[in-house]
Amino acid sequence: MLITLLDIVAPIVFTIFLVGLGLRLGRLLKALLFRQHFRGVTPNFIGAPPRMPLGAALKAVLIGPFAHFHRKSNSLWGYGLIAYHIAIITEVTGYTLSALILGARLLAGQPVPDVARHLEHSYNTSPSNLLAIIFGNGEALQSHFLFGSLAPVFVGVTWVAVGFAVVGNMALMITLLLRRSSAIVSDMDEASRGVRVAGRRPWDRMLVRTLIFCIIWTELFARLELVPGIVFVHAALGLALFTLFPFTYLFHIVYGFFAIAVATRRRMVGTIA
Amino acid sequence: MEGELKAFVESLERNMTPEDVITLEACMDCKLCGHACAWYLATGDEKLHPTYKTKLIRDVYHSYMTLEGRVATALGLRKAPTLEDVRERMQSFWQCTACGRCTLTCPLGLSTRRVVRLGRAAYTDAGLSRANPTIKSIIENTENLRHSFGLTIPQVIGRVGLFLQNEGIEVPVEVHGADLLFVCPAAGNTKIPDYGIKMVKILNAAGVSYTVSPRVVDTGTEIDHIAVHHKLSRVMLEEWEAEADRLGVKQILLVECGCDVRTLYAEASEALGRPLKYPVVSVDALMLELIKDGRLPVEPLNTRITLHDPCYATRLSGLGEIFREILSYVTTDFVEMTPNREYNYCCNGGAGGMRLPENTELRRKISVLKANQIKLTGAELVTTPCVVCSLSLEDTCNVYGLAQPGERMVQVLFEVVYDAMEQALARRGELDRMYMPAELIGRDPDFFDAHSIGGRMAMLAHLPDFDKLVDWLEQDPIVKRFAATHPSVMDQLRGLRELAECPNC
Repeated sequence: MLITLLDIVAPIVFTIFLVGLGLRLGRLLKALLFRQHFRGVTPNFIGAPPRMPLGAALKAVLIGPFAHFHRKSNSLWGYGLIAYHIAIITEVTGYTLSALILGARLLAGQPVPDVARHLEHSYNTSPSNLLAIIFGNGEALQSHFLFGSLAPVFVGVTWVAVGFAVVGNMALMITLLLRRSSAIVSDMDEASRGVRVAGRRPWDRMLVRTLIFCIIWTELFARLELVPGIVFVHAALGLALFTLFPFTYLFHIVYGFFAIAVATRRRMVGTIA
Repeated sequence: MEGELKAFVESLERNMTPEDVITLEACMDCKLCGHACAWYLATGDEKLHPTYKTKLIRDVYHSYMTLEGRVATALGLRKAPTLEDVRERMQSFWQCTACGRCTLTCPLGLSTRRVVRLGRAAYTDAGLSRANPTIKSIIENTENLRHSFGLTIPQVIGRVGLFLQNEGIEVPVEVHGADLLFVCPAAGNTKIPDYGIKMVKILNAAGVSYTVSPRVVDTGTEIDHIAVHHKLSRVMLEEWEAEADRLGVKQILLVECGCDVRTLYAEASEALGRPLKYPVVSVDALMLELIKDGRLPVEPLNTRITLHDPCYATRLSGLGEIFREILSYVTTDFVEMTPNREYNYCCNGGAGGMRLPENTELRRKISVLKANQIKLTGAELVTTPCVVCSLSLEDTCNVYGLAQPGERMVQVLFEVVYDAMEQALARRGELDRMYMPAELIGRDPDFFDAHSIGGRMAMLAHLPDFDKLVDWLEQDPIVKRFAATHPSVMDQLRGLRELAECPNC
């Protein structure tokens, strides 16, 4: 039944996803085309700061907030966030690679595994099967199909990522449940000694975090091959995330890259904000 | 949509850059920006949290400027902010110094500061910010008098001229072809007499080729940072450039004012839509060069000094290291604040924090963090290269009992340089170097009369309202403050009074 549902829902989800993606990215495109303003520092500014190297600026943007604030203000949340992001970036890269390889193989007319039936060669191109191949890329059948002799390396790397995901997401989940998300629970510096700020538990974070929590654990169970067919549950949850993606804070995954690029550029010329 | 709300939205549309779209779209509303904001940390008040401001702009953006938002609003699925909501949140945009510290804790490096400026510009463009009497006065003074505190050109020349004449210091006025054009920010020539005295003495002693303008007496950066009136800001910058054209100077001298630094380093390009025409030299870079070259002799002070990094000069313009290098020449006992440089806490005075009287109580409460920072250094003197920071810190030191009653514990950086210079010149027997600028040395009497402050004061005497100007000077609190330490200025004033009563004498 879940397989049938996936086959029906997947095209709808991807349509919603693409429309949402188009709308949100379209706004940036429109801004780039029609809102272009001249910005930049005064070129002949005597005594201007030396230009910061790209690597140093990137490090300041990515590591700076953690090193100067989050590590001190809320270490469980801070370390959890880092672990979670190491995992999510690795996992998303893995899924993207898997999707590209699968797409290439389909275009080449090659057979694909049938995950539900544990067949190595089939021409089952139903959405549910394709999703099970992508989202189950850590399982033996799928990883061998996708990565061939490199499968053990891929699986090894993603196992580390899964470990980070479990630890990181647990930390974030705990801070959220304890209402310590974005709280200040310890001193950041001497000047603000004793300053404490209560955290919060917004419903959208709870929803998404719970969803991701379930995704991670279904992936773990699928990899350990503890529950037969759980990869389809994993894929269904993944689809739910796809649906929410353009309409929740999750979209920072896309805009975050632009934001970090802009922040890095500002850092390089000494104008931090 | 009501007219004012429409104008608010149109302003956002007009001023929003692609970077702002990224900021509004990427914000996760994680609230971590509050971890850096002194206003929020010291009060815990949600209305002072950076997201209280950004949420309004994001809601307006999503409700009125995006397709799905407009559809959702039309279908009643989304509640779009009303004019009342916009009005209600206005005050919070000015309970913020736009110091940009929030960016440092944002996991994506988003500039909330830019959203605050977008908001302020929208309030100003929609005419809503004029509901605040101080902002209204800044806009109207700048529009009508080109001076944000509402001083006329004769008032500025009269006051500064009075002080300079009392000290026997000369300043080159309207000297064509000088290297540098020196324009003092309004806060400098309104609140700190030493801007017109010690700064000038430093330039004179080092033999710098500079001139002041008899037409441009305010840099206009308050209109850029407090009101965020882009059109007026552009006008002020263009007039500044036009004056530089007219006087044929080579560079613009940027004095110690955080807002001036930020405007000339970064915002000018946005306001003008092109880079500033003239090279800009910061007085700190100039002083450092002069010290290194030996043209400005200094003898280090033994006072324990700490440095407050102005947000606009250090975090927003990257000048932090120059200040430290200068201090390495002028003091033997420098101690850093913690945190420092871009992570430093704001003085809470900039961009309206101090200028708006309704913020006073709150600003003082928030400044507990700043007071703690200063206290932990054990410094005897706090210095900062920003006029507004110095005024705000002085107040903080008094409120938190860090300074003895009547003691001035905070000095603008050039004042520390001045003390080190004066000490060195006194030892060399060269104090007279401070009194005559390079551009007036060896000039004929006619040129001297036309281009000296003494000559300009004489010209003022021919104005029809000269007696009113003298009346004003007599009542001026800055003149009174100056007279407390320089009683001879009252004799100068009496001289002006006699001149006013008998202009032909």
